[in-house]
Amino acid sequence: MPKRKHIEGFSSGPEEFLYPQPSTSNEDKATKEVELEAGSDVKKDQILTFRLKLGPSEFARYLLTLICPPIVH
Amino acid sequence: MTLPVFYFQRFEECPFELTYKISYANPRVSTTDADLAQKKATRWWIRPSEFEPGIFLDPGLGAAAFFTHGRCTINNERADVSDLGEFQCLFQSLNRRYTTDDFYRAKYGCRMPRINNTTDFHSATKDAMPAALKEAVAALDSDDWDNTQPLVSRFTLDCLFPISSQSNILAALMKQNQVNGYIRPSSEIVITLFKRSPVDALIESFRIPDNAAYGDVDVTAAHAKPELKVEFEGLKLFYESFTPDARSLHGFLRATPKYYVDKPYFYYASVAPGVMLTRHDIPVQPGTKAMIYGFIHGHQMFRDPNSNRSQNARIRFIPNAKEFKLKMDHKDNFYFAEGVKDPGIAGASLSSGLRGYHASLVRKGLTDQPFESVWPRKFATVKGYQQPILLDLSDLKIEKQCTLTPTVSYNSDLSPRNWFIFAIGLQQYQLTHLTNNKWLQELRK
Repeated sequence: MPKRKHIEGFSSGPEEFLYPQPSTSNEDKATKEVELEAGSDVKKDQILTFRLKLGPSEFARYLLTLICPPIVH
Repeated sequence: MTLPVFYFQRFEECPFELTYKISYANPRVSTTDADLAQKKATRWWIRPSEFEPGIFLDPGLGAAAFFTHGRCTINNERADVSDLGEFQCLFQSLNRRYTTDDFYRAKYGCRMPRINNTTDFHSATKDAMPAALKEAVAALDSDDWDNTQPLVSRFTLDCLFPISSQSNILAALMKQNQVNGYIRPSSEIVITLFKRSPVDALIESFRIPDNAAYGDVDVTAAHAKPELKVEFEGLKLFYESFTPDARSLHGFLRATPKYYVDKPYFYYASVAPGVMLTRHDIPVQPGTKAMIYGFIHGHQMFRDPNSNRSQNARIRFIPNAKEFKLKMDHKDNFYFAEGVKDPGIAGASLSSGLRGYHASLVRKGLTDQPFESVWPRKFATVKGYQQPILLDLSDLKIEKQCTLTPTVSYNSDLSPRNWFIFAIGLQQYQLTHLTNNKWLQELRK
């Protein structure tokens, strides 16, 4: 079995599975709920859909700025 | 630079919450006692524990029984790996049974009533209702015939990533308890549930005679479930989010998230009727860690609109079987390789092969049910409902497709008609959330 890579903040689960995990109890953790998407009617429709947009869309842009910082002349 | 707030999110074990009501026509409607509102009412809300009416829903499914299956996409890419489709509930019902009570309570926060055989299921009167059945139907009970409060049920769809990651079976066999992983921000998750049609198809009467539960005999009108009206009032999805601190965030940026998920796959074939011997070659996919297989009557697997019987996952050995053997490519040391005489009909409870098999399930944490409850000694009057065969293939490291071959020989009544053999294999997958928001699926062998 491959050795576990320890990366701060990631799951302490077995081996390769590395998904973000709260590392301290101080981190803001909450249970939330989401309703069916607009237009989905639980009483009538055969197909019911939930749509979740996770977190702020700035995240990808933020990652980009870290990986490829803007060139400043 | 100002950091935006980042929410990482994952799903709870039973993330869906359905509120619904079930009613049926007042069976004792009276116009002469018109002053009594209950007798005058045209419909009553159901109270199965009071025999009003005597109906049952598999406790391993709960409200999941109202849906055939689900789908999930993340950033417009399909993320779930399951191909079960309409057989989701059959898998889920079996997946819930291969657990101990302690495991079940720890994972789902409740105890599952065990319906192991006919003595746990049938009831002629409400006062004689078996404890397990009473416990199972209580979840469907309205407060009263004119109840205005809907029923509330939390449920999930097993192995539908990212709603659910790990099967109970592989959790026990691999001794790894994987929890659902957090998904990173800037991901759009779309989860679709497909309603069953009719929605109450898996609700069944618990007053049916045994030969109607999984035989050719239909349920008489007197024992059939009444016409039910299921009304959905609301459906919500619960999830958990957290905002990482700055130190964790650095860790997230340095690694690519990789998630665990079990993939069930399904196989079935009809059993030839009227023959002395049947043999099937069941394909076993590469990387399969476990396989459940068993025999099932046609009406249990596919809805029959012309019948009073309901689909169900009560599995026993095929009738008329005299001897049963099992082989797999390059492996001889299976239980049952030397054959079980009269499986499930006569003498099975005395079979050392079956006792050894059951003991191995207990040892591996796959069941804590007594042998006699699953393989009843009084086989003539008590029929087992939990008799699929679960094979642990985790030691084999299957590199390429191979074949599992069950052979059944029958007594002079020959093989019955309208029976099927089914198999559910379980593979492990790793899903990687790539930086370009694509999802990479890799089989773990």
